[in-house]
Amino acid sequence: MLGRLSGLLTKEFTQFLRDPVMLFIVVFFYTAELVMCTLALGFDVQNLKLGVIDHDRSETSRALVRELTSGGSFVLADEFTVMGQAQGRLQRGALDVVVEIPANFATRVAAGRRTSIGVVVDGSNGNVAARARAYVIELSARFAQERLGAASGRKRGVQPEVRVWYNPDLTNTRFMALSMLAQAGLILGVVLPAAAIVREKQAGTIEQLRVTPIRAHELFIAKVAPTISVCMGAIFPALLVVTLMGVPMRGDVPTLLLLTFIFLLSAVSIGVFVASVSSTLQQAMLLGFFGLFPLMFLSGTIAPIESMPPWLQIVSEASPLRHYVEIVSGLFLKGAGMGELWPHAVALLAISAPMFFGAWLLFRRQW
Amino acid sequence: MSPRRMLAFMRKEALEIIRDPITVGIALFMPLLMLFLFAYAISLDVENAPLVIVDQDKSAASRALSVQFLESGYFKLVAAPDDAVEAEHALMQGRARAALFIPEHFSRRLDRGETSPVQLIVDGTYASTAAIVSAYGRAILYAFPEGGLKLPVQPEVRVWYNPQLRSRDFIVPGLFAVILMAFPPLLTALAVAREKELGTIAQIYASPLTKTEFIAGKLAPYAVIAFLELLIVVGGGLFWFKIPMHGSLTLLIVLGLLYVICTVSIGLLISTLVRSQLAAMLVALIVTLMPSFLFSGFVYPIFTMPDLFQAYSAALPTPYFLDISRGIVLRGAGLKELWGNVAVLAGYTVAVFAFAAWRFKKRIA
Amino acid sequence: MAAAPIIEARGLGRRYGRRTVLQDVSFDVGPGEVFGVVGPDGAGKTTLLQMLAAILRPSTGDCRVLGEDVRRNPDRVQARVGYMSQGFSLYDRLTVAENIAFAADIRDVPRAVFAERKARLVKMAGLERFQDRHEGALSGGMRKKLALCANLIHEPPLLILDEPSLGVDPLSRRELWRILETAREEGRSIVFATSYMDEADASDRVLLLRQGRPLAMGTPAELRETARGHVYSVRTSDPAAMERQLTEATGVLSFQRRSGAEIRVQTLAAAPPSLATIDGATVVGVEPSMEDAFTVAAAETAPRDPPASELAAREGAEVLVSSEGVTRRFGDFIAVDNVSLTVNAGEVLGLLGPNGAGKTTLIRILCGLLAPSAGKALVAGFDPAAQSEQVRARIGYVSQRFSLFADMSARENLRFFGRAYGLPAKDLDARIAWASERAGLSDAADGLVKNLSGAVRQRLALACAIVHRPKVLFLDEPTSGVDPLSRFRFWRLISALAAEGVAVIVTTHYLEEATYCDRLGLMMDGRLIAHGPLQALQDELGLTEARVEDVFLGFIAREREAARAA
Repeated sequence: MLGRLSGLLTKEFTQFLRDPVMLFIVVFFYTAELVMCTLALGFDVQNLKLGVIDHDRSETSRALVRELTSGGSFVLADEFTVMGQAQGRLQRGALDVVVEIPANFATRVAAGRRTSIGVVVDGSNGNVAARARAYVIELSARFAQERLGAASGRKRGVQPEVRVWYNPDLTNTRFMALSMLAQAGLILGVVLPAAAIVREKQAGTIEQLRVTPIRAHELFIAKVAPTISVCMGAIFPALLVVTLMGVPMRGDVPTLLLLTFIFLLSAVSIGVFVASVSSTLQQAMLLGFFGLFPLMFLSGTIAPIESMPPWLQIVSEASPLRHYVEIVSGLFLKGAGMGELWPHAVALLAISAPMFFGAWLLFRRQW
Repeated sequence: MSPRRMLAFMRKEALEIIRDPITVGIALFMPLLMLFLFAYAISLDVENAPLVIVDQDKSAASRALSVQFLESGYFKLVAAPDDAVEAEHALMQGRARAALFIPEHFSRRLDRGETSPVQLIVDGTYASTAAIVSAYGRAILYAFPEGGLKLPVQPEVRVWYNPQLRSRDFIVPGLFAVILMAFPPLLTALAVAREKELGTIAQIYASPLTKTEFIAGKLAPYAVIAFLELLIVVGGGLFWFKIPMHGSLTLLIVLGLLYVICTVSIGLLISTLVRSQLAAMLVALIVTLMPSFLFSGFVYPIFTMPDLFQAYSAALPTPYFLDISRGIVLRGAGLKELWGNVAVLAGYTVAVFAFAAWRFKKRIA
Repeated sequence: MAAAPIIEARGLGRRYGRRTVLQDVSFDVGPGEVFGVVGPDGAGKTTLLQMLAAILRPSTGDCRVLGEDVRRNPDRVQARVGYMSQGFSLYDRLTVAENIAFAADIRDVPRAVFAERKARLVKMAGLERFQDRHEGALSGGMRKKLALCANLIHEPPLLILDEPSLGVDPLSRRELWRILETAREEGRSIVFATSYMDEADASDRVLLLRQGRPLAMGTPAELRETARGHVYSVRTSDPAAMERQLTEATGVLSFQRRSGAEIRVQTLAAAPPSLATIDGATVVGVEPSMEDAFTVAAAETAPRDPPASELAAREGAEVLVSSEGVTRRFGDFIAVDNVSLTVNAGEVLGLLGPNGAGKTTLIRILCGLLAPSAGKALVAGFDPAAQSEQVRARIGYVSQRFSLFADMSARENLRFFGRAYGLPAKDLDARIAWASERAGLSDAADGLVKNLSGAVRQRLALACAIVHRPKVLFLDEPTSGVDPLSRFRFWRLISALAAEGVAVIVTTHYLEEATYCDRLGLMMDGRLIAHGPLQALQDELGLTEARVEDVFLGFIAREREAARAA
């Protein structure tokens, strides 16, 4: 009956708006966390500190060093005469990369003979090391091609035209903002309904509701509807924040809302599961936060999915967040629409629908 | 100070912990779960980036270029459509992270000694992957047709401290620092807040148990748990994941103990500031758990952060132990190299402990 | 002989920010003295006790406990007193034995005497068989007794107890006081807060607190004496009409309908209530009880409650609740065992029994919250197990915890329950006004429920439970922890509702409240061991003019006897 349902919904919204903890969590995840992470975790690896040991001291060797430091990737930090000197600096973290150019470098290059240069990368930060290694290989290949061309006296070879789409300046900022947006949806989608249900259990009011003519499905709807509407409503201010952080909104808002709705169905289902096994609010929150951890992990927001082992990649298909992240980044960064994103939408629906149904069955059984 | 009172308090605390499946679960299972997830799943180097190749030349040379891409180990082929539109579609769907377009007349131009443009489009969504993919892509293109090994300038890259650049080798020692900051403070803060919430603390207040005995009694069992966590993750890291250990295990364990006391004290400090378990949990999540993952330099290097966040990071104990742990495990560093970090950590511990002891009052208000 | 006082409090007070919760409290407690603190909730009882235990710093005044200043040497006070806070103060995950051992260790009990003391206390508390059970798995009464043992293990000269018998059944309450009696004989002083007037009556001296101020202090006899001339017994053939008159009469502080045709009246001035003569009505001055003393001392003016409605046709009333052989098992445990009873419209049935006797389970079955394992119930004409929806629309339920939504206002709660019961929107306001009036909420508080006092919450819970005009009302310990004046008032509301034809089933731990019920059901181990009007029960035991407690204990003793014989 509509009267009962609207009474329940009024109550749920009133309680939600008066709960400082829940309001804090909503605001925190949609603003503070989102802004902090986006600002701080741009992860733009630039200006790596390069140490040079130039045994050759020729024009060619200097050209190589210039080549390496020409872009923004490396800055020349220091020069050494022997490796031993550089080693200590490397160990202290004062250098990221050391390049050692052999004595007969210029002659060998001029003669078109193969020449090795020694490169040492500090591997203790694997992230940085992976990039540093790729940059050195790229830049020395470019240097080699130019020299080869110069030696043979004609322009030749492949002209690489590398374009980075969707995020031309290659910062992590945009993706970070979007994944935080998606994560916020998941965390809140789980924690809010779980808290709303467990709070009633804890206060004993659920018993009081059970002696009224309220039906299980009415309470179920009243418990999940506020979360879904709050999370969908929060999309708009969050979008504003995200836009301020420089993420262009290229996609279609109705599509976003529709898919967000499907995504939230799975999140609130997890919330209902969590509530059914917890008896206190902090149990529910602990379970909520930690239970979500694997899901977040397998969503590609922390580490790219394609670098995971194949079995984990398969497992990650079951994470609703993974598909949602693909959808959000598709919509925002790539300007994709349903035409491109339908496989993720279908997967999301295939995950959410049974979960939601399962949550409902569980809720009704416990009623 | 009475050892008997303190021991009784520790014993009680230990019994409570053992009989609480949630605490035990979070304390021992979550670190293992994290260890496995992180060690298996985080790899920021790029292998097998999904690639679509649109070969409009279909010559021996264009096929050779495709082969060089696929044999480099950095790329794997997901599709080879004739149509550029389809390649774009794959990028949009996220099925491919890069697309290689080899235009018509590619081989003819090469034969004539002209430069031949080849387009590589990289999906920039994952900036880190994209940067590496584009660098390797360029390198392969520059080196064509000789191939990487035949280039006149041959960088012989050695990655020190982590030769195979296994992400695991650098993630797992970092995890030692992160896990000990993520869970022990949370559990400690919850434990004291629980006593406040249930009212059992009134019994403690109205008893001869002194402040020191209370703090030590609370701290010790949680420090033991945290230390167990350390052993679990270190054991798991070294024996299951075979992380090569270059330094002294004893030093790592000893300094780990110092760090554990530090993080448990932080939990205690939080619990002196809040009244309810819920508040304790939220504060712990926001002050210890989240920043230890995000801002400690565990995954995202600190030097890439804006100054404000670098300062924030420096205010956490985690980056210092992170350096210690990675230093010992990866670089074989000893006290000589690490004393600065050790000093900061020790000072930090003393300060937090003193502040918590000062804040804790054997009174309701 | 002037032994040094155990407690010397002078002008003691406490503020939280600008809010004063207690002021100007001065008293002494001598060795071996039992000192009761009585007052409605929010009177400052807990604050006072916490200051005595030196775990709360006084804002004003001085206090010496055991010769030590609570401000300057709180640690020395803390180390020597026994302090039992409200609620459960031990570790639920520790066993009985572990809890006691822990208490002894942190209180420096010499090991040599520990075993002997522990054995004695555990035996006295009747906990010998439960030594290895977790504290959390004990019944409320046992947990309280255990907490008391933990506070007696170091043989403190002073015991400070904050509502030790709150929510404890009469049987356990008796055992609790037997332990305290022993402690007192050993020369310990006891300071305790309570809402049980019989406990206050049994102490050496009583302090009445109200809104943070001392109202009166003295021996129970002195306090009762202050109420002399204020208390009258009115007997009449038409109690309903008399109640209406008393409600209107000025100078009447409060009145309680006793079973039969007796009404007890407390007046503001020391004079009989001015009543229009009703045929056959007699007004006799009576010996004041502690309740009367509290009512006279605490009440400024009587709250104006609705008079019982004109309709008082009890004869030939329909049966609204009936149960036949209702049984409920949880595994091997039989919580409710073959209970058959009926309640008519306009009747109040009181269910009494120790904790765990099955009262709450029985109510839950009748409400349709639990299905019976066997037997059949009929509530308002429907079977709660099969037609739970029809039943739920016709009953009201107030649980032990007054389950309201704490973060909503009184009005919002009422609106919510009104809509939950499917009241049409246009009737909602009228119904809420009606329910508030019936529940004595005319001063309908607009603040959030969590800021309301226990007594107001209790009345709000009642209003929420009757907003849909239920035919049957279930009240599970509705008066727990509420002061006597508010309890009186609550019972008058209940009688008024019953007079309108509502069938009421109520459980309580305050045995004196049984006199307000038309019939009583005594439960033990899931069975209904006695059932009938109080008078009939007294007759059955051959007791005349016996207190409810004696009747209660008499039946329990008879039952145990029978069990032993079998």
